Amino acid sequence: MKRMVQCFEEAFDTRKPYIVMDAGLRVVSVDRIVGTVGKCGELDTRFRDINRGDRAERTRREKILTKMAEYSEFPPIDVYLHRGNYYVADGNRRISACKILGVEYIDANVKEYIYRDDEELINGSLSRRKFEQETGLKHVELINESGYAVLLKDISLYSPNLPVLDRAKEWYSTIFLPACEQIKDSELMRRYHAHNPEDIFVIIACFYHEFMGGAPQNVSFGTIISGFKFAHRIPQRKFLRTVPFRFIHRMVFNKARTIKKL
Amino acid sequence: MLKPFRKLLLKLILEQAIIFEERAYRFYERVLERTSKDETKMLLKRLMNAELKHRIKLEEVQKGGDLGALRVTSDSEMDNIEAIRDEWPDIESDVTREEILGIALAKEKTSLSFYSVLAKKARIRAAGDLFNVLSNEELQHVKMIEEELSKNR
Repeated sequence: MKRMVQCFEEAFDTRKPYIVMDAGLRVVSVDRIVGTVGKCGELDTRFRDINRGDRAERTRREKILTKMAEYSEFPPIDVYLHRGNYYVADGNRRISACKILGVEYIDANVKEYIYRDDEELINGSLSRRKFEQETGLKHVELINESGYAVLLKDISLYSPNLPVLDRAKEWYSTIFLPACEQIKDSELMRRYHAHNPEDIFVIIACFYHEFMGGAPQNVSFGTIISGFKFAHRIPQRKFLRTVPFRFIHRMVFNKARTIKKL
Repeated sequence: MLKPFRKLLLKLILEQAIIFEERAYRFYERVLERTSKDETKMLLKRLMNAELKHRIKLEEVQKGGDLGALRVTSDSEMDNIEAIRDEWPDIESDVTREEILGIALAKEKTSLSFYSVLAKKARIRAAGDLFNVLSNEELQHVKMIEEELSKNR
């Protein structure tokens, strides 16, 4: 039996009291688009309609694929967001094309669906909106949305003389993005396997905020990670600890003296 | 020809200093778990915080390579460096607060003299400044612990 995409109607119970928050236009990671709205049981995991193999459908798909491959502009898709997962309300064919071409991000109008009694999620969502409004950064995706408050604090400590929007932009390109790249390549991904690099950045930032009021300035992020790992007893490879250093000292300086005598 | 070896040696010296800071951090961490007095807990957290900061600073210098900065020549200087390689003692369950502070004081004094030597030996100003900062901070720790000890006398 063919595997199908998830259904929003199954993931979100509309009989319970809920609220819809308009999160506006955002850049969404295609990997986090897991399902569809209103087409339950009709789309396979690559978002292709299993009931429509007709020529008209194929032509439409091919047209979108060709346009996308030529980097043509597309209107944003519409998605519903629930508990960190996105469900396509309009734009299944575009997502299908993204999956074929390996496109990682897409513009989307996002509506967030939250149960009224889910305080944690409501607070997280408010925290994200505050972060986006204050910084203008709309493509920072955290699984644990309470982390946006930590990021705001981190930005507030970065170059306080710059205007907020400029500061956020600079922080994003000089601190956040390179740090997430380093996290991606580190064993922290294995250690915190349920988190994405952005969330691990929050964990590290949170540790330094609580422990020493913020990470030390003018230090590379590699060293910041190393300090974090040490404090959390995460093993690190240390080549220099295996070298017999008194032996090297003797070798260097005794040799130096001999050469001088000659 | 000897330059690469000298660089390696200097990296190793910094590594020894990092190990020292790590041991100090773990020592204070262990003590913190056994302490009930809030005042002492605060002091220990401050000391842990400082040790971690030192560790980070030293690692950054080690990576960055202001490493033409130092010259260690005599065996007596090596002994000074060797002194910081001594293990921190285990804490017995019946150890008193004064005994803990006594151990911490002795170790902080060792690292104070270690950083002082490195500060004097540094040939590049930036590196000298860094070791001066570290030795001044260790001096502050010595004073903090001495103050804490004098409170109970």
